[in-house]
Formats: sequence, C-alpha cells, structure tokens
Amino acid sequence: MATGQRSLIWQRFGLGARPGDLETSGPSPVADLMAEVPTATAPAALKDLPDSPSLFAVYLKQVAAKKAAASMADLSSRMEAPPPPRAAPGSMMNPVRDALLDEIAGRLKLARDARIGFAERLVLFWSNHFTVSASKQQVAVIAGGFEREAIRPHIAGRFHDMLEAVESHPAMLLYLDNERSMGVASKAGVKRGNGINENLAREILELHTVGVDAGYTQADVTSFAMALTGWTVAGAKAVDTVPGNFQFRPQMHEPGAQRVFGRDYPEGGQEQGQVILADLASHKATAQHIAFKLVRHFIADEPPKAAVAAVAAAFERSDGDLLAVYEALLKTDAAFAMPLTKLRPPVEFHLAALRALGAEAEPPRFMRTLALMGQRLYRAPSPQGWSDDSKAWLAPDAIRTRLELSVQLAARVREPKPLDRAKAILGPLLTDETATIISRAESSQQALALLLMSPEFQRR
Amino acid sequence: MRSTGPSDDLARLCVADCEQPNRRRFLGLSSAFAASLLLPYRSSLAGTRDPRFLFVVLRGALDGLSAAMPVGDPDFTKIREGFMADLSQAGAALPIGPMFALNPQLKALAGLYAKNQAAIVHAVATPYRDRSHFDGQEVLESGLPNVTHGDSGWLNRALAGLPRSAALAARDRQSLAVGPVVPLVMRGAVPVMSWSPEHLGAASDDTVARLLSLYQSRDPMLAQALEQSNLVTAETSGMAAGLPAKGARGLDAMLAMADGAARLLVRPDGPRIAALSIDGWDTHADEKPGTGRLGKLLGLLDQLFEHLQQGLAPVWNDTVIVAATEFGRTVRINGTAGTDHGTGTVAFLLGGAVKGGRVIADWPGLADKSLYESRDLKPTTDLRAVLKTVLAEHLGIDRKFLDEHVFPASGNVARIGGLVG
Repeated sequence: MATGQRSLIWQRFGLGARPGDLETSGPSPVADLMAEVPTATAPAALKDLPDSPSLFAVYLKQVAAKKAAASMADLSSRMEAPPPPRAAPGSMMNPVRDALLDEIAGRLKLARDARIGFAERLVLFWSNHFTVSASKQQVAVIAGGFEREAIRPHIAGRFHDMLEAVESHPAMLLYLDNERSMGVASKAGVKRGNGINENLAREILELHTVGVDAGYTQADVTSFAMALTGWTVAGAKAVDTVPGNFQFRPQMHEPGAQRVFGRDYPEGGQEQGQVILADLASHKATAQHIAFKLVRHFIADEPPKAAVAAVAAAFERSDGDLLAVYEALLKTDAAFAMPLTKLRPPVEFHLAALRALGAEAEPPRFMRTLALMGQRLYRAPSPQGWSDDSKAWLAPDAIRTRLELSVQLAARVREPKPLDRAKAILGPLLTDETATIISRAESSQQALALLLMSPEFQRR
Repeated sequence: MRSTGPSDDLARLCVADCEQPNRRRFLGLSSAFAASLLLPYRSSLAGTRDPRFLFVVLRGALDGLSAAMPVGDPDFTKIREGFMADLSQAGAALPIGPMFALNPQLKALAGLYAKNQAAIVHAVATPYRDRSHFDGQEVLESGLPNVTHGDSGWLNRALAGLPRSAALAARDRQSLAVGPVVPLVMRGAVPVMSWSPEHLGAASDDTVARLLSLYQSRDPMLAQALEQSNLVTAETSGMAAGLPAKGARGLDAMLAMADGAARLLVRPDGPRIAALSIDGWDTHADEKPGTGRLGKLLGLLDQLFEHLQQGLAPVWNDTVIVAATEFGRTVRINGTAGTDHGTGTVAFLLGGAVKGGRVIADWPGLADKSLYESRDLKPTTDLRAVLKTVLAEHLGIDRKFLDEHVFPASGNVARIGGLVG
C-alpha cells in the first residue's frame, strides 16, 4: 500500500482525521482499524444514559401528565377559570426531547474523541441497516436505548446475536407494528377477533436478512409473521416484568407449526421465531446481502463483485462473526484503492468537519443542521434507512447547506492555519488544486470553508 | 422533505432546535456571476402553451380504497366494516359519481373534481407485482418494467424528449426537486435543481465562485450541484415574501414546500417541471382513514393540493399535477386495525389542464374471487398508461420516445387518451 493511502484509514473507514492523527498510524492499517472496533461496545461516554425501560417510563409519565393537564384544562374551562400557564420554551417540559439530546451529546463526544472513528462508523452502519425511525413517539423515546442495547453490544460479536437483540427490542417491535400482532387462532385472537400484522416479518426478510431477491413468497411472509406473534412490549400494567421490556405473550401466539423458506418449524412459543431467526442469520443469501451492503457503504456505490464475494465468504465461513467479516472487508483490494468516489453522507460530513476544525456542536443545532442537509437524526424516512447511494446526497440545495455550514464552522475557529491544517488532515490526499485555492483565499476563514468543501474532504 | 404531517407524533414532540430562529438565505448574486448562470428567458411562442407539470410521490403505499371509496360496490362496506365508524366521524363521504366517493378529508380535491379539474384513476398499479416498498418505489420512479437498480428516473428522461423548441427553453429553466434529497424519479443525465425552504445563512458570492472553480476542475458532479444551487438561490431571492417565518416542520414544512414549489413554477424564468415526496402512507396499524393516521395524512394531502392550486393560480390552466404511490394495501383489515402491503390503488390527476370530473377505472370488484392473490385490489390499469398520456398530451413528448426511453419496453401499454386538454 502506498503510504499516501494511509489517510484512507480515516477518510474512508473513519470519521476523518484530526490534526496530528495521521502521524499516529501504525505499520498495518487493518490492525489499526480492527483494534478500534471493540471500543464501540460499551463506551464510557454513554454509560450514564438511561436504559430503554427507564426511558419508556419517562414516556409513560409524559403521557399521564398530558392526560392530567388536558383534564385540568377541561375542568378549568368549565369553571371559567384561566387555564394553567404554559411553561416557557426551554424549560423542563419535554423529557423525551431531553433524553434524545443527551443521547446525541454522548454520540458527539464519542465522535470527537475517537482515534479513527471506524467503530462509530460501524454503529452508524448497523443502526441504519436495522433502522428504527422516531416517527412514532414510543419509538422516539427509546431509539437511543435501541442503539446502546441492541446494536453496540454486538458490534464485535456475531450477526445472529445482533439480529435477535434487534428483532426482540421494543423499539423495533413498536416501529414495525409487531406489538399487537396476534394469531387468529391464539387465545387473544379468538377472543378479540384480531389477527396478524406482517410488517416486521416482511422487513426482517427483505431488509435485515436474506434480501428482497432471495426468493421468499407471500406465504413465507405470512407464516413468519404468525411465528412472531406474541413478541411484544411490556406495557404500563406489566406484572412479571418492567414496562418497556420485551415480553413474550403466549396468549397472542399463533399455535401450530409454520413453514418458512422451505423449512418446517414445529410449535414452540417464543422459540419458534428464534429458530427461524437463527436459520435466517446463517442463510447464504444473508451473507451475500450483508456483504453487499457493507461494501457499498464503505467502498463504492457500485460494489466490486470480488469484494462482495470475499466478504460474503468470510461471513459464511465464520458463521457471521462480524470481526472476521470486517477484516475481510478491509483486506479486499478495493478497500484502499483510489480514487475517492463516495460522497460523505451528511452525518459523516458534519462529524468530520468538527474533527478537522477541533470544533464542538450543540446537540440541538447539530440536529437541525443535519435535517437541513436531508438526514434528520433518528428519523430515516422508512425502514430501509438512509440511502447509501452518493447521488441521493447530491441535491444542489443540500450541497449549498454544506457550504453554509462550512462557512459557519470556519468562522468560529481561533487558530485556522488553513494550509497546515489541510495537510495535517488530508495528508497526501490533498491535491494541488485545493492547496492552491486554500492558499489564495481572501481570508483564513474562507480558506477553511473551502477546505471542508473540497472534493477530497467531501468524498471518501 | 422527509417528515409528514399532523400524524407525525414527533412534530408535536418537537425534538430539539424548536427555539432556533429560522434564517433564510436571500442571496443577492453579483451580477456577472448570475448572468453566467441564469440564461436569458425565452418567452414561449405566441399562442403556444407553456405547460407546468408536478409529480407527487406518495411513499409508503397509499390505501386507495380509503382515499376513493367504492361505495357502490356492495362488498366494500362489508369488507371494510371496521373503518366505517371512524370514517363517518370524519364527516360525509364526498360522492364522485354513482360508484365512488372521496374520503371526507379530500374536500379541496372534491371541489376540483366538481369543476372538472381533477380525475381519479382507480385499480391502478405500476408493473411491479411484489410487495417491497423499496422495489415498488424504484419501479414507480425509474419507469422501468421491473427492478433493475438503474440510476435515472422517467421524469428526467422525459426532459430529454421535450419537443425541440420547448426543450431549449425548458432545459435552460431546469426542473426542480423539492426538498433536500433528489428523488429517483428526477435523477439522471439532465441537470436538476433542488430547493427547500430552510437555510443556515449565506455564503458569500466570492466563496461560491472560488469553490465552483475548484469543482469545475476536479469534480463535475459537485460542480453541477453547486451551479444548480446558485440558480435556485437567484430565483428564490425574488420570492422572499410570503413563506412561513417559523422553522417549518410537519404540516408547515410540507406546505412551505408546496408554496415554494408553486412560486418557482409560476415564474416566467422558473422551472416547468417539479417533483416532491410525501412519506408516511404505510398504515400497518391504527389506520383510521377518517380521523386518525391516514385521515390526517389525507387532510394534509388535500391542503397541499389547495396550496398548489392557489400558488399556481396564474398558470393553473397550463398545469397538471399527478400524485401516485408505489402500490396499494390489502383489501381486508389486518389484526392491528391497519392494512398490509397490497397491489392496486389510486392515482390523482389535478390541474386546470386536466380533463377531470371523472373516475377512470375498469373496476375489478372486491369479491374474494376478484382479488389479486386473494388479498389485494386487482390492478386493471397500468400507471404507465396514465403517465405516458399526460407526458404526450401535456408536454408534447413523442410517442415512440415515451415507449422506448421514458418507459422502456412499454409499447404494449396503450395510452388512455383525452386526459389533458
């Protein structure tokens, strides 16, 4: 590998270099990157954040408070008294919002302090692969908990463990409507005349495991949905567990055997769904699907076939050992090949810009800016998650917003030293054209903005 | 535009940044720079039309049976009994002919229908026959007969087929993607500009010019994006008045998008063709088509139509808007008071140029034996037939070009005829 391409450790696989970082690279880029992976599992920056049941309690409290306030308002209107005054904006009126802001503050800290950022990039990748979107309030409150409890602990583990943690996490069960899905022949189904909701089963097959072209049928989706009936979330009145935890409710589970993807699964309560998930996790098509997505995300919009094949082979050989999978990815010929083709999506661009400038972002402002660039945090537009295609992020208006953000961030830097900084963060990736335009800028602030907007900073 | 509307819980939740004042960019470009980008306006020839076309993507699969209800089909109220109480709570259904009634939330649309300025296509679908949103949207937007992961959309390819005189003018004026992400339907070889209502603040013209020169020597795609953003910036600088001042989200954001798109489309030197998306139609649980999740979304869509009609008033007679979704939903209600992924659904056509006041449907019926795969509304009209007709009649695009390039391999999909005029 050419020495210049060491910069790609940060550029392609990390969150961008900070001044000084490039000098720390060891003899093996793959070893540098792999060493960082386990740091995402349980980072200290997130250890004080509440778990999902505690967050869920916040939500339940808020719902109860709203109900109480509504009945108070109703009462006072009947008594012709003025309603109670509303709290001023910014006061402790929205604990759900505060919880999300704490989450984001933690993520910003992790991104700022990461040596490379590969571990955090993997968290972003998997959270996007297993998208939960805060389009529902119950999901909004535990979206952060989902990432900490279902994604991070398994980042250096096995795909199957992550899959089971994800599909049984309340955030996913709520987002994809499984919490009330019940078998028509289950006790609850018979009593209420209700049936299944196939949303979760379909997206597990299509998006999370084997992929849309794997050859499953509508009957497979329906049977799988039956097997997953009873996978629900403990509610406010839960007795044998804490509200906001996963709960299997046998009375909602469709009795009987199911046939999914050519295999028969005898009745087995919660285990029936678990066995299907295990089979899906080790399916050849899942290895292919995950390999394709990893290569497309990290390397190229049009993934080189050889790279996908190598990563898929590692997935199969290791039965989904993710460290083996990442290592295979990093060892493909394409991994450190030039040129830079992919556009950094907004989140990566923003974090890389902060690292390059040694700047900080306030969580609310960070969220707002990302929304303007088209990537509102925790709000992917659909279960498919954010696009991994650079062209989706090339909207002129969004590029303009990147420039505006660059100008704003650059204006706040105390010691700009633009050309030194450019060399320090880009190393040999810095082109003569960009170096020239930086050195001829009318001010050092303008120079920094141009650095952040340069093709070699925007692309990876 | 990613968020939805009043059904959007988080809109009320207001996660973060609610207190941030919204500064919008009204950049005065230096005249030399602007002149190099804003090509002179070519007025259309006397007597020729100057058509506007807007495509609205409804992402998530709209339940067509709740939007335009086949009230004349005896099976309908039986099979959808669980929705009837909620629907009647929302008000009376709005009859459109003997067979169908619009959802009570679609008041503005019903008004346009009564003025013969809106048509409903029912039991319609793209050629896609599976039930993945993402593949379904790809077929809807790519215009291809199946899923091929291509990277251009039919609306972009249509731009290349505009009649020669119109093409010159229209390409100079560009087409417009509304929102921070360009939808697939607009992506492709012909440059597209994009616009969304909120901005952080201005970058100086000088910085833009320097950056553009760097991009021109190093990165054509970024150069093109930056150039397009300049064009929009110049245009939006002339339309400062009237946009909502508050940091827009949810319903406000959507309507701000519609207002902005309309302002740009109305301008003589503005774009002629635009696309925007509305998410949130994937109603698997608690659908409530009258007063709940779907009802509120339909209400939003109706307001959007109303805003477009008002904003586009000066050019309304030259306007066609088509709103379509990737597929429909199951005919039967599922176990969680919603509907799962289906096939046949509705598409809406509206605008002063639409020959409206009718429902275009070869109604397949809702009896068990009439359903597609025993669960979905059977599609009897190919959406491409509708779109090809509009592109031919409204934008004057050549028939062969439509069959071969805009909707490849669609020669066997006959146009409907007489939708516009």
